[in-house]
Amino acid sequence: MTVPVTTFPTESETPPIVVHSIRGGLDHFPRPRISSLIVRKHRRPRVRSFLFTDDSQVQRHDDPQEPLDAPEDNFGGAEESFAPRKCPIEADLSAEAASRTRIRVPEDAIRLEDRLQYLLQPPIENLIKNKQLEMPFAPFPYQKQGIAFLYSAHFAILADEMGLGKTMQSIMSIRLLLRRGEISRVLLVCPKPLVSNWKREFALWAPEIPVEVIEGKESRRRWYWQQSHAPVRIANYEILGRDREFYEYAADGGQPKKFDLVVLDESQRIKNRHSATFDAAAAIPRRRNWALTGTPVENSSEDLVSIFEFLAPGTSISGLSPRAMSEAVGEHILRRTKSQVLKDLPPKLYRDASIDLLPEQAESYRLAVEAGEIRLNSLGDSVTMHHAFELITRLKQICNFDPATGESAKLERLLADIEEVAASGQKAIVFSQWVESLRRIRVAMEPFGPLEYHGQIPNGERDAVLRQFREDPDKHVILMSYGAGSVGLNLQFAGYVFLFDRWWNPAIEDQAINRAHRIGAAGPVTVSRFCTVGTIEEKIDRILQTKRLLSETILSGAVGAESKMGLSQEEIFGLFNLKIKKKKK
Amino acid sequence: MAETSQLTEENARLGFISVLGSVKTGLVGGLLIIDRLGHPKEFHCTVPVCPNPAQEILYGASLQAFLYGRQIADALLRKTSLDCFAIMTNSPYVLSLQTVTPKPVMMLFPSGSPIAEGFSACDPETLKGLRTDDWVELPPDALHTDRLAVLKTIWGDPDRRGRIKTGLEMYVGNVDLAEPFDRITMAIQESQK
Repeated sequence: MTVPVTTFPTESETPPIVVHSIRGGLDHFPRPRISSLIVRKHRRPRVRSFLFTDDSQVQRHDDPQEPLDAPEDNFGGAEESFAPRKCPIEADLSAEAASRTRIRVPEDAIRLEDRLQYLLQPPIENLIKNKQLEMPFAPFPYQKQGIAFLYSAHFAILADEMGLGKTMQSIMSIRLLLRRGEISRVLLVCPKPLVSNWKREFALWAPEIPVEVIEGKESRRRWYWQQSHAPVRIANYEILGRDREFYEYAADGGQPKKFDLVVLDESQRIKNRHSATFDAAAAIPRRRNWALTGTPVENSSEDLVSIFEFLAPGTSISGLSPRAMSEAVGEHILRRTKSQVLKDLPPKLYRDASIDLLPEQAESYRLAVEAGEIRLNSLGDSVTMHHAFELITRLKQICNFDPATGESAKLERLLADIEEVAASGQKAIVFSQWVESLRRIRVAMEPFGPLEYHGQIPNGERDAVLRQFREDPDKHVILMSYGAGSVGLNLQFAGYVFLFDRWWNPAIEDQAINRAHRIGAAGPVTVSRFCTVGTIEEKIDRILQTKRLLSETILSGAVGAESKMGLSQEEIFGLFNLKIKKKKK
Repeated sequence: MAETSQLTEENARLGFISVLGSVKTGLVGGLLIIDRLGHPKEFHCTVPVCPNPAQEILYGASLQAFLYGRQIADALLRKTSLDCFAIMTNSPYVLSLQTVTPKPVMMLFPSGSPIAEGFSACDPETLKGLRTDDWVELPPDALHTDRLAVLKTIWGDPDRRGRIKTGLEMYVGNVDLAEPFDRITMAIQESQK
């Protein structure tokens, strides 16, 4: 008799018994031969453990490698020895995964535990939908990406175009990091006119975070630096220079406690690494740094070098070609433009206005050019950039207003445009680099309720001016200087921007324009750039266009344009009929 | 065995187990424990595991349930240092873990998928004595966007049912219950690079 082979899978902890066969005959009944396999206790797979501690570290514990047993003893446990040490896993993420914004894993996170620390964090969408994390409105997807970028970055440049919400993205990242306990001391440095704007934005986006402004008398500022426990402190660049001893030393004269995070707003302020501002910023004791700027490359690629040296001390990218620089900073810089991310933002319509000087203006201009060039040439080898700038300034002012008669072709054009703006119930911002020009414009603009916002308006009055411009329907025009009005202001209710004269730098002009063309803009923003025909303004405009190309080359990773395209000495002198004999500064 | 400690915002942690790969090329399991805000507290993953030929013969149709639930998931659960009030899984094979742990093991089904489909991949042997009929789909309500199944005997116990509901309520609005499985997938893939 032969009994077929049968196996019995077991359903409990009892080891399985396998009966191979039973043989017998009819004549005699020998004991059936039974083969039994004793299966040892199940051996569990080895496990790697990663424990997230309260101080946001990850501790790793691996099961020790056990020596492999003989094959016959291995019936109980799944066999690691049968599996490769590494097993490429092909698995699809959920359908919703693509719509979630993950915290970025830094490239310098090499160890598995370090990478998992970022990879296993909840997506930004989870973090911000937290019931305890109320926000005035939901961030755009690109803003979530910005938050995810900053959240994991120990040094980073958020270089979004003006108006895309760098302030909000930084505040939300700070908020999340504070709530996670990853940071507890934050210093935000910004230009003085923007301090109140930052405070307001913190109140809007992170109302539960106490914010202190470092200001007042010396003893008071010292207390803010050395004694305050506020999680967020705001200082302006000027105070940073004055108070260096307060943050370089603790109250007892010893080592100060480091800031967990230092954020430099409008970080182009430190673009000169030989400046006192750079030194003061670099001296702040800190663990991580973010730089915020819409214009990381204002004049030349060296601007970015300084910012990078602040962010990552000892890391120099100086002397690299734009292409190499783009590769070197690529991981640490996030730059988006409105056209890339805000498909729904109303268009920005450029309406370049080429204006002929009035006859009297043209004559004054001609005389000034002739006199100026004669003087420059007469200076011979002693001619300097300063002499050239003096002449440029003189000529540009004549392009605005004729010094002899006070007449202005630009003003006539502006007046006609503003009448139309006011008639349609709209508001306009007019930029000029000179307060004197703004004052003259104001006189002509009286029927339209002009307001002024420039360096001669006291800081304490500026918020009230902006509020009046926003709320008073009879105030159709605000007259701004580039210096005071180009950064940090939200004027998206203005549908028109006029550049009465041109700034030296296209980035500054963009900042000015983006006061109106930003998130929340209800309709298209019309930008009118005034340029008088046949004058130095036209020549400067051509240079501005090449500068813009340089910025785009570095920030977009595009190739070409290897040469430095800032305004060189040769180009400055080239604006006139001069022959440079030798370079002088 | 019912757990008696009171759930609070601090201890209402939830575990998620997923097993990736294949029996042929190797299986890797991951367990992620999160707090009520979705932050990770612990992550455990196995090295790749393959059955040996003897196991393939001996366990037959129940092989995957044995490997997923009794071998991998059980090994992961034993490594935890923090308690969690329930274990979520997206694989029916992991449900056999319920035979060795008193913690509720809950299956998450994609929205719109009939619950039976979730079990269709398993023959009756797969669940190690627990039949498909033994599981109950939780009533759809504000607790979750996806659908959950839990053992009838657990859901029928008022204390344990109350504990599950209390725990899950703390996650409403903070965590999409399907999302942590993506994190496990990414972490396992990272561990195998």
